[in-house]
Amino acid sequence: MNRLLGKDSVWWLFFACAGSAALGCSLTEHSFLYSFVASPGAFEALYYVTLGAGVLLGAVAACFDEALGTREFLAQRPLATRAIVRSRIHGCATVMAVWFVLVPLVGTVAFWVSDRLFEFGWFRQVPAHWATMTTAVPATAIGFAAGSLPFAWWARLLNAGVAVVVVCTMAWWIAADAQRNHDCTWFAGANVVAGVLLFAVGARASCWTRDPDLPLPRGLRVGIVAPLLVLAALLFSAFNREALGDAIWKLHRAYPEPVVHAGRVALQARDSVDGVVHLVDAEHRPLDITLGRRDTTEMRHPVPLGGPQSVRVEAPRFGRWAHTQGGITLGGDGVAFVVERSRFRRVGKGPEQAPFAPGSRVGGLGPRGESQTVIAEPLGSDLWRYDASEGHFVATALPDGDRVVEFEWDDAATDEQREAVVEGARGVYALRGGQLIRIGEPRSARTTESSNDKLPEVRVQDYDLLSWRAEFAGDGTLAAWSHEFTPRTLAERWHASVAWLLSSVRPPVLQAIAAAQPVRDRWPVLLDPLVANWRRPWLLLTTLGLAVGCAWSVRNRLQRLGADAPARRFWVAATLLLGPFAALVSWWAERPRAWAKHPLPLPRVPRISSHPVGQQVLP
Amino acid sequence: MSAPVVEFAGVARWFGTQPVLQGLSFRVEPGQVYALLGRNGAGKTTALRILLGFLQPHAGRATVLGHDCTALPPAVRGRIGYVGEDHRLYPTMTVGDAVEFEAGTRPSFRRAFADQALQRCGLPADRRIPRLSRGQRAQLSLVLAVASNPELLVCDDPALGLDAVMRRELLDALIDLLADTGCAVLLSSHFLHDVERIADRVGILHDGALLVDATLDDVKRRVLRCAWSPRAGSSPPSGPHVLRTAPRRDGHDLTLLDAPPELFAQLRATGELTPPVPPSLEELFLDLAGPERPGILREPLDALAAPAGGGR
Amino acid sequence: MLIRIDPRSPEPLFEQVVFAVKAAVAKGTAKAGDRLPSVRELARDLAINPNTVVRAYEALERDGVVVRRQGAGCFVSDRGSDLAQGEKKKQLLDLMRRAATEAFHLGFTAEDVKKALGQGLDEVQFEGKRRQP
Repeated sequence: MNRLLGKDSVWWLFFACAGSAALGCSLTEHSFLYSFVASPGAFEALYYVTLGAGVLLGAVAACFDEALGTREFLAQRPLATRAIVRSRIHGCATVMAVWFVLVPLVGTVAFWVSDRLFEFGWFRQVPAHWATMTTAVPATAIGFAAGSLPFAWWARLLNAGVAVVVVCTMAWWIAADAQRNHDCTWFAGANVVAGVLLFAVGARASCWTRDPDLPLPRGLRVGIVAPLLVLAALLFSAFNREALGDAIWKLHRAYPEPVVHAGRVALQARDSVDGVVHLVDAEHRPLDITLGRRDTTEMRHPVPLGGPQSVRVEAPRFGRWAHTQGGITLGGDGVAFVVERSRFRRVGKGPEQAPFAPGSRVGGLGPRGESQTVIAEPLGSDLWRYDASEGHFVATALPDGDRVVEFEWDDAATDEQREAVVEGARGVYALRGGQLIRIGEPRSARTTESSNDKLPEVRVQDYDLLSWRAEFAGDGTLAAWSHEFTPRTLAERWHASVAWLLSSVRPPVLQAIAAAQPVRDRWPVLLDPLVANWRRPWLLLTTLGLAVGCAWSVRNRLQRLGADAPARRFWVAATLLLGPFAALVSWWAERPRAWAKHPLPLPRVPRISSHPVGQQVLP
Repeated sequence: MSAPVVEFAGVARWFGTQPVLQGLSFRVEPGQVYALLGRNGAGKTTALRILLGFLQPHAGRATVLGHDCTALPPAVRGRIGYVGEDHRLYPTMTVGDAVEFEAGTRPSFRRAFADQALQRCGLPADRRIPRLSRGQRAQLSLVLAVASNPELLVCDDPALGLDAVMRRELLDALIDLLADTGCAVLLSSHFLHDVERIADRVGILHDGALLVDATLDDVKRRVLRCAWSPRAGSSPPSGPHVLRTAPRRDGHDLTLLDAPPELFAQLRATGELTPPVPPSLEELFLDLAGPERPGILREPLDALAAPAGGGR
Repeated sequence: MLIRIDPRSPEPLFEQVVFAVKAAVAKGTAKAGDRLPSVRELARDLAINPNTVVRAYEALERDGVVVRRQGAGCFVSDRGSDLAQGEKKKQLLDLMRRAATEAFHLGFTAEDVKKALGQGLDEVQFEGKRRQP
């Protein structure tokens, strides 16, 4: 094993050094204060550099011998493939361990060299660095597994891309909470689990080499091609779903909207040019009436769109952004810092510098240029004001026990007179001489009624994404009105057809799962809302019919090529479950050359032959 | 007889629609030197790659040291030494590193022998492999292969691109190996003079199968070449004893196999015949595996060589 | 002992080695008890397969020209010169046979051969160079 690590030392030494340097320097994206002390929310540069470096490391580990041309040299040694693969994974693990240890140090050194605002020893955010860097584990595993695949280089690249998108998206969504903040443990855990699985796939894939004149070995087909096919089908479904959502949105945009005109409800085409609007009739055909924009009044017509969650290759957010105001930096976890004479100091509530609650907000009150820094806790009625002479925050209560709603600027006549004030639930307060004085009504009482509330509302009934019934019950001034929104014009029919087409090429198994779901507002990216709750059974049947048709053509093609029964069964089953996408992949995976039947050669006797040494030679 | 070290039985292999091996069958006995010859692209390298397990045959069976070549356990691979034509080694290693690597991965490696041999060749242990000349890399490959005490040494054109001195040194190293151990050697080379000296059996690969599979002594005893200048009206002989008839100025070059004296008498009666001599391996190879038609460089001469009538 | 071979010659290599040893014994350059070169040395010297040398030495041992002593090598046997005499005769016969075959291929008759042989013998006697057996 030492020998194998020794011959690989070139690349793992290189990656350990260059990788640590690159990752460490990527920490300088933000200032030292934000990178190490208070949280910047997401370490984007670190995430993307880790992703890239990891994939590269894994790919080099797997393809090093292939690139040098020594793969067959290695294959002649009396070494089991297992030992070779183990040594490669060992090398990758060593490099990643070095990264985890060295990167915060390298980042510190980078700041020491470049940033004047620096103080050694502030390693508060290093766990967040490490959590972000756990992306290296699945990234390296993806590079390793993709590099070990016995396919052409472009197929490996494609599979690596698919795997990166799927794994990053899944890790992002698994660790996310409702506010799209991420939990370190879940994120790291998801990454490590994905990495271990992918390393296992890569180890298994290393056992095979691809021979274009022989069919795919059964183990390769079932153990490697099948999982890759499923991953690719999932990604295809996700992109398909986004396109589907786009088509639905376009359809909604093509429909007219209800407006009030001349004392009754009418339909108006959405796109108006040069301030001229057109009315349409019940068949969505334009009427000969052109009006100005002011001749109609819009109505409220809430149509839920329910967009999907999307694929994300994005840095996780381990906390809210820190904010700096007046020299005080407040982290998302409620710890505040001040920089005095190039040194950091924690500040907090009272002389004991107690930390604030997480989610506190920092702001500045007072006239422009003379603001005092204040911090408001989410559930408190105290405003904490920073007293520079005492070096800590002092409590200042809102009168009447009011709660802080927002920091804002008051409505003064001129710019010079404007000052930053705090709005509570029951009034607006300004800071005067260390005390909060009520200076006006809360904005919610002052503002006029939302014009929105005055609009008449059209109710949406029987909504199934592409069509619905709009009903207006009628109030005192307007008569009752209803309209069926379905695709009627060419443009609308086109968008609807695109949506149906996209839905029908999706994997039948996902469609079946989607059909069993009840209707809801927000949909996971993998499921198709068009068929939820078994509505549109004809669409489901179309999907199934398309899958069956593709499976039949796949079976015919494989039979024509001369493929054996297990191969045929595999691809027919895959097409029935995953739809036309699997049929396309089968076209690439099973080639005529591999299945070509070669005639048995006739035995040929050499023209001149002698019997083996030791026996009499026959003439 | 003991079990053969290498046995190919009806091995066939296609690349796409191109048949490369069509029923290759031969055996290599323990301690024997078998030379596999053939033109470029005849399938020698393919046969050796099937032997080492890098390719699977489409038909037939190849076994080495009693094991099927498609499923060689690692221990058996340790008993086979390989010297290729490009002598591919890790470019990041030095000579000493290469020896260490070999010693660490092969249990039967003779370290002292390897060090001595490299010293004799003049290869210092700290020289980087990319800095070695082609001949030195060939020497290193051979030393590494030989020092691991193999039961079978497979050489795929090891002397390609080497000068005469290096070729002789390789030959000497092979002879030493054969004298010291009872190793079997499967050799594929284009240098037929060296092959003639060292091979026990010769196999000439042509059109995907063996055209010749015999001991060198046998070949020399049974094959005879002569030049025959026929008198007017005589056509060249044909039949099972005639291996090849090549046109030449004033007649034909004949290569005959197991020719009876009557055939010679008949030839002498119908024209002039030079004394038949056994061919060298190179001449035999050219006769058997040469092109069916004269090549592009010989066409003008043929026009000169055949005056109207063809006779004297 | 000078042993030389010619790989281009129609004779099999191992027969050439056998012949060379027997010729040396016959000429007297190799006396009884002389040690033959080891298999390895001879193979390196002649640049041929050691198997060939082994076969040659086995043939020589079978014919009684040499004696193999375990661990010490091959030595010319005492009966060497006797055998050498018989071998010399066989050598002469071989020489004549070869000449006759060549002459046959060249198209001569037996009479022509005898005439030429007489002429050759006269020439040799004329030169007076006659080797003692």
